[in-house]
Formats: sequence, structure tokens, C-alpha cells
Amino acid sequence: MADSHTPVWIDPAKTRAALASGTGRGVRIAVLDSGIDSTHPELGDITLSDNLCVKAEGGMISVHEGDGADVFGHGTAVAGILHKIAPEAEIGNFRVLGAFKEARSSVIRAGARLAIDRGYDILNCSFGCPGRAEFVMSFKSWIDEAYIRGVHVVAACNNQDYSIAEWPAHFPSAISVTRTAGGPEELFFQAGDLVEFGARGEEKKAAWLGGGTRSVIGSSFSAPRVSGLLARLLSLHPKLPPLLAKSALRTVAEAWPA
Amino acid sequence: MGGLSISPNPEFASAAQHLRNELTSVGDHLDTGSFTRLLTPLAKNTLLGAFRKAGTSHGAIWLADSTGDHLAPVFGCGEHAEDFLNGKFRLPTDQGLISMVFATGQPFCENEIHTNPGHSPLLDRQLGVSTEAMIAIPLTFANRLRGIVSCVHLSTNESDGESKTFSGEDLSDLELASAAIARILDLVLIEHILGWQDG
Repeated sequence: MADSHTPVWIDPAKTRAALASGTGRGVRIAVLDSGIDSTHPELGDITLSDNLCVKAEGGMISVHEGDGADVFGHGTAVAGILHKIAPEAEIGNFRVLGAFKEARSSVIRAGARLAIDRGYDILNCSFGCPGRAEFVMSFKSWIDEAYIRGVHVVAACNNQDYSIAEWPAHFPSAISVTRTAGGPEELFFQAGDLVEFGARGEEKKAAWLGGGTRSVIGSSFSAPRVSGLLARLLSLHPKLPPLLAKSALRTVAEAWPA
Repeated sequence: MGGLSISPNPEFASAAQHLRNELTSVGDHLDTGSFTRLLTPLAKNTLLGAFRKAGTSHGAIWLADSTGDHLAPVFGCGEHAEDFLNGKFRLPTDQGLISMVFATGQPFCENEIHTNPGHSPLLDRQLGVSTEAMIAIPLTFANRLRGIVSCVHLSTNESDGESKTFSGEDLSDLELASAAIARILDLVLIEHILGWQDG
């Protein structure tokens, strides 16, 4: 029997209301990416709650506080989209991409665990690792930990062929997102695959390096839209566990666009 | 796969894992020269068809070197292909859009490269061209992300008043081509491992 501490089902009407009026206030989103340029005009009023880089050097994982400068522009674009959708959400910068020489999955795992330990509500993962057996446990360890601790994982996926496994998108506890058409705040759902959600993958003016913008298309930019919408939901219904939040989003999403 | 009622032959169970490991190992030791020989006419034509459908003749395949420090072009088409397939050009994996796709493993389309200072100008500078738009797609074969398929629109002096851009559909077509090439590469590698290519 549910008690006052047990989160309860959010009905579609309340979910829609939260998605319409939520701002992300009180919700913390960790951007696991290539870093964030927080001085970018598109992110004008943002203050990063964490700004760090996770590296692997000589087989050792190290965390460098204050070293989260964006190396590609990708993470800044992701943060810019998040900020538009959920302007009051708190964003943490966990730079885990850009390290090629060492095992990337171990760097991502270290960054994700750090974000979980630091109390983030959502991990935005606009990346994908080939879904091979040799990598599965590295990803499963932190995705399971996130699930147990009530942290939501939103992941971009291989959107050409849903049957191609990628980590973390192909874990059922993650909210996996592919690139679709549609408006900037529209959410789509399709049953029958591990990749269930779709969101707009095109961004005409994505924040990028050097204070500029770019016209970009990619599944990487679909995931932060869903993270932003989830932040809106959580801002009005905090403590909603991952599977209940995922179910709530399912109930209000539109049918997958043609 | 749902609906396909073929059950794995238990006699191959141990060999299957062995084959997978061997495939990974062979992939780890592929150099650019070997890769070029793996690229069958079927794979090349699949790629060229996708480039053509996207409205460009300029495209390439990039392969990560053994250290992961650089991506090297191993296949190219278009009027400048010979100039960067000279065995000397290397793209550092810490700069540029192609490297970014290698880092994220996610497909990407950029339509305003010329307006942005973040774009790595190395190749443009070497070829004396100006890239206007680019698609970059991860290439995963032999059980790992090992390279990138890319295509570009170049700026031309003759201004026709239209900017050259790629669409989401072009991105999807290139993703499909990349997945098809990966399957072909895996099959060719497995045939070599099994000795089916001999005789």
C-alpha cells in the first residue's frame, strides 16, 4: 500500500499540465558531453553547478574541477537546447567526451557515477557506444545505479536501425530518443522497440564554440529536448522515479510522425 | 530477429565467440592500406549512391589510427580526393566535426560551417577549398566504432544565389549507407578469417 513517501502515478492531465507550465526549477541535469561554454550568449544567464572534466591518463581516471571547456561545441549545443526547454533547470557540466586514447566507456562511467553521487536528477547522454557485449557491464553498472537511486537517464540512439544496440540507449530503464521531425517541444512515442521516444533533431541556431551558432541536425539534439521536458515534469512532480516518469511521458506523447 | 525461426547450431557456439573475438582483433590491426583492399565495389557503390542522392560528389571514409590520435582518409571521391588521399593527411581527433562524431558516436549534419570558427580548417586549407555543409556518420565495424563516413558541399565562386545544405533525409540516407558498408566490411573480414576468400 502506498504511503505518503511513495510516489504515485501522475495522470495524463497532470503530466500535460506540468509539461506546459514547468520550468525545470529545482531539477538538476548533468550534461555528459564534450564540455560546455557557459559564456555563450545563448546560455546568457546560466551558472553551471559543476564544471569538470573526467580524463583517463595512463590507465588512471582523474577528475579535473573547473576544466569543463567545450572541445567541440557539441555539449554547448546540447546545453543550449536544454536551457531553452527548461530555463530554470540547474545544469552541471561533466566533460567525458574527447578522450580517445583510453577506454571511453570507463571515462563515461566515472562521469556518470560522479553526477549520480552529486545529486543530479537527470543524466543527458547525447552519445552512443556500440552495443557490444564487451562494453555492456561498464554501462550497466552505472545505469543500474542510476535506476536504483532514482536518477533518470536520457540517451540518444542509433536512429537508422532500432535493432542496432547502442549503450546506454538500449537499456530499458533509460529514456531513449531518436531524431524525428516535429516542433521544438513536441514529444513522440512508438511502442515496440527499446527506442520509444522521438523529438526534433534539427536546431537552426545551435549554440557552438566561439559564441557562434550553427544549423545542425542529429539525434544528439533530440535527447536534450526530452531531458528538458522531463525536467519540466520533475519540477512539478519531484521524486518521480524513472519508470513512472517514463510511463507518464508515454501517455502524453504524440504518435510517431511519418 | 523476430519471426525468423532459425535456431543457432550448438556445434558453432564456441566457434561463434571465437570468431567474434578474432573479428575484433583483426579490426584492431587494420591499417589504411588493408582497409582500402577491404572496400569492395559493392561497398563503394553503396556509398557513392548515397552521396549522389544527397546532391554531392565530395565524400570520404576516415579511419582511426592505432593510437586514436588521428583519423586518416582511406577512401574519397570528388575532384579533390587525390589531394587528400596522399597518405600524409591526418585529422587530429581533438578538433573538427568529424572528430566530434567519432567522440559522440552520433550522426551529425552541419549546414553553416563557413560561419563558424570552431570548424577545423586543416583540410580546407590544404585543398584550397571552403566547406559549406557537412554530414558525418559513425562507421562501426568489427565490433567497434572505427571510423567516420563524411560528405560535404563546397563553396563555389559562381554564386547561384542558393546555399547548399543537407537535409535530415540526406542524413538518414548516409546513416543507412554507413550501416550497409559496415555489414559488408564485417562479412568480408569474416570471409578472410574463415579462409573463404582463398582459392
